[in-house]
Amino acid sequence: MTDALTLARRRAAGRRRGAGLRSVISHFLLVAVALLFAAPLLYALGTSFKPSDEVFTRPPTLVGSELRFENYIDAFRFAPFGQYFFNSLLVAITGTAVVVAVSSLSAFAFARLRFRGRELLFVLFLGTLMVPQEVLIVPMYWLMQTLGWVDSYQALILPFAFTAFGTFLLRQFFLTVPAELVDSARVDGAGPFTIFFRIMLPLSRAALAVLSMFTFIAFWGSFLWPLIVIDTIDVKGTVPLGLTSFMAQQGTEWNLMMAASMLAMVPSVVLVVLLQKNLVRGLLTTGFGGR
Amino acid sequence: MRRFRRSRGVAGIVVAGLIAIACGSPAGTPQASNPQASAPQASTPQASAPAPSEVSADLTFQFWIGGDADKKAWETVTAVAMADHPGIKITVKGNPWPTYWTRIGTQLASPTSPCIVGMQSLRLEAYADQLVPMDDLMAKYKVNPSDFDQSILNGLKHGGKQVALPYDFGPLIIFYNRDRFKAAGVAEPKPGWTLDDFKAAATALTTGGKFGFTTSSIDQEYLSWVLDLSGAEVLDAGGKLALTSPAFVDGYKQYVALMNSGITPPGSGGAAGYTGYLAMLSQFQDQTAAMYVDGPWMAISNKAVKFQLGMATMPAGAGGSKHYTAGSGFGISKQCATPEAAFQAIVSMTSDTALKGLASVGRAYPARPAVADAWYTAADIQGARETLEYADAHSVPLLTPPNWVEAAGYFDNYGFQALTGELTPEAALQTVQDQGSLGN
Amino acid sequence: MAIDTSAPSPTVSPTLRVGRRLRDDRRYALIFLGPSVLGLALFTLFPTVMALVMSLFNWPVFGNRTFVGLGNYARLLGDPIFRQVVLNTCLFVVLYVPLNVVVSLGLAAWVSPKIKGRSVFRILFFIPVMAPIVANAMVWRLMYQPGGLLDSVSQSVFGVATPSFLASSATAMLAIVVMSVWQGFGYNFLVFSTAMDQVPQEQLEAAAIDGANGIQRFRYVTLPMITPSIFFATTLTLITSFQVFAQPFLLTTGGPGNATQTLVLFVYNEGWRFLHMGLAAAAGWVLFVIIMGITAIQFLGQKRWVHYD
Repeated sequence: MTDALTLARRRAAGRRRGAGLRSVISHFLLVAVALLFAAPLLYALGTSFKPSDEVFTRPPTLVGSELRFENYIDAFRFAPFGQYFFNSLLVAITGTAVVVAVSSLSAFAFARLRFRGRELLFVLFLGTLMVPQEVLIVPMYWLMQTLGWVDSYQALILPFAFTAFGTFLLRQFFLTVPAELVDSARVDGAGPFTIFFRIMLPLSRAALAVLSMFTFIAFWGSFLWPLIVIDTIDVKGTVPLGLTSFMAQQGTEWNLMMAASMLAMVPSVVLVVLLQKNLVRGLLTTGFGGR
Repeated sequence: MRRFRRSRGVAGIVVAGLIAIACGSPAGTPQASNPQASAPQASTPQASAPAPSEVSADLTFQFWIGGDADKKAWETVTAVAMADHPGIKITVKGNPWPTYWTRIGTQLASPTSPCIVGMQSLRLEAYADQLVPMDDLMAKYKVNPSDFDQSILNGLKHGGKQVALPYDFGPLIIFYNRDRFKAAGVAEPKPGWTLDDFKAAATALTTGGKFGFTTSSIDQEYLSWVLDLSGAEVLDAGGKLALTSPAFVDGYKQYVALMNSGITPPGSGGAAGYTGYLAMLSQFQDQTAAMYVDGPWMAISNKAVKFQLGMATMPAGAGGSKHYTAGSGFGISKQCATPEAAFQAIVSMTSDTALKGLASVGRAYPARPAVADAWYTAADIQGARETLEYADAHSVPLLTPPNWVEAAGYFDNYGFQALTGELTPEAALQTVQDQGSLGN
Repeated sequence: MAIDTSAPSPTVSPTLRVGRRLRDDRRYALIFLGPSVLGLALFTLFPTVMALVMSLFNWPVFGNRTFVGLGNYARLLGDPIFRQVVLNTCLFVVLYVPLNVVVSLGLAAWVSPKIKGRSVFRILFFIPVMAPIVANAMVWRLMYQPGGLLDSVSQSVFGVATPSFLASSATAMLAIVVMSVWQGFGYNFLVFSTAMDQVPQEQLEAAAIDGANGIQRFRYVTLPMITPSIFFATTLTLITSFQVFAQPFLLTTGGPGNATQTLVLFVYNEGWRFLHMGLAAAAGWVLFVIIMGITAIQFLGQKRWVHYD
């Protein structure tokens, strides 16, 4: 037995020696892969600072003869990016608030309230997740026309703020809250509202954060629905719409186009850097990233 | 059991209700409560037309606008209307060109439709049913049809009724780069120059990595050439899409062959549709290509270039030199609650004053011939007058079928394939014809 | 907050107490579930049914609507362009999903916890996922443009110009797939690397002692343990890939010809460019049925290869 162990140890040591070199190569390759991946973004960033006649050079250059910060100012001059950002923020924040509020309420009902038909109703809820956005857009547009909501903020926020995804996600999490906590609260005379606000929500910060993040990303990047429902892009348009509008006018001014695209990416980059750890934690708690 | 029967009944009622909603009044009927109207109409058929300053309304004017400078130009036009009628307030709203046409259809159908909309003669048919016929209003407010250029006035008619008043028009002609012609020693084109002249010039100008011509797959390009080369039009005698008529196919084949004879940059336009148009434009403006087809409305954008601009007629083939005339005007949405106020605003927006203002910034070759001089002075392009007058004399209005927006959309993609050689011209035309005839 | 004053004294029978709690919960359930149910009814159930209704009509955006029964569906099935559109969509899915999963799985395995700066990779790969798709599309249009990065690199290094990727039917769909993978794999990368972190170290070490090398450890220890995550990621990617719209819309407008027109782009064109809402609704339902079918197959098949413990 000792021999087997010594053998294994020697093998492991050998492997570790080889592993040192292998790990360096692996690291190096990884960095190369990362650079390759980042190449489009770096190229776009570089182009955004170039004068317009230096965009297509052979061989390709990262920076032009000068750094034209004016490109970013020009982008603003040709399109009201401030308005686009404001609209996107308004829609995304309000939408996220609605989703979190509505989903947490219904998730609690499914997780901790007892009533007849609970399981059936939950299955129905899940069933609605099957309906893709694209089936809904045609009648949804007709509904907006009927309600007079075309080209309005509520049309951007409400129609897709009631999906069952949030309910599903939060119910998963609420179920992991120990039943004893809830039961002892009930014995103490707490009603469902107290339990919800004083026990469930505070314990679910991670899950709420994850839901908020996913929802915010969804609203922020939403393209098809705003494209359909917004008529006056310069007034109510979101950032993706504004970018397409910009493309329609300045389609061949690549340096300005890249400046505009970089502007649109800034909030995404900021959010990812800030919330990256929460994302991982959230994936763990909701069980999607687990086994 | 009872619950089951009841739920079936409920479901039945719900379905019936849904079908009732669907079969209900079409979305296009005018609504009485337009949030834009602020005061009731001042006139009834019996009463006499009010003096201009009495009418009052709150109107929205929707147009294709690219950027702040453009918006300000249109605000000066609406200012003329507001000066003529102090009770009228007009808000200018815009979308960039390609977005405008994807939105205006649904906007016209909505109860909050803008009252005054921009309308282009070659896209009129798709939306004409949503616009208010103006003939009675023209008679009432004493608008003289003969003040306008007749071809564009007729171009904005639908079923014999006037549905928009024109503000600009123009034959599609060739813009060329005078500096490059001079540098290559090529004689500048004169009105009525022939196809052989054109080919010789384009070939001579294709040298040193630069090209003589450029094109893209949008409608004004290939339609102009097909008309010029074979005389074929888009519609047949019955007003239906006729892209596969022998004459059209022949003309289109000649166009594709001409474009691929080496005089254009490879993959002209580089992309389909409007992006291709922008790419074509920038190839002309950065001097990669010496000539391209466009309308006089582009004169001012093209004036910003660093070379001397010239305008030439379409080269004369066996059947002579032929041009399409297109133009734009303003129409009134049927959803507008104050159509008479809107009409009076439009009359001001197409008046001598307004058009002179537009012409003097070169933005619109005016639909009122009397004001044309202002445009020529502002455009200051040598030979423009001769070219435009010749072209005008050798032109037909560009008429399209009601589903042209759709057919042109198909053409954007398939015509592009014809230009790059992925599809034969005949195949491209057949596909667009088949798809375009399926309209419902 | 509501104090449960109706709580009976312990001398009351337990069944009565349970019964009262059930009844109270139902009232509360109405309140808690109310917004969600109302919202779902108004914004999901009602439009779903309306989509079916609309698909039975000739429904222009303005003008009169006429009942055509199954006419729209018949027209779709007989339309060569629609068939091409369905094929294009399937082609995209077949190319995109495996590529996405393989790349994200492979990178997740490579960027193991031992790698320093692991979170940098996570952030980097996730940026395009979070960025507006329009911005990503603009960047890649520049890349694919003749004269753009790919072309000028090819010309400087190899002296050969690349074809105009987006202008040629042969390469357009592939170009869109590559861009989509670049944009999307960061999400699955995160899911997989999180899942891999959950694999117990002892099992991996035991396998190492038994003589398994890196690849074998991955194949026989890690992979079986993360099959639930793979299932989740694949299903999600599958469903969303059928709904691809922005990339063909922005990069090629569905062209050249019809080479990259996908189902949702078709719905958009029919509904909002050509204003045939009934036909668009019918096409949307066809998409729905396809997605449901594929997802059902996924769920049925999971018993075979997904190991829950």
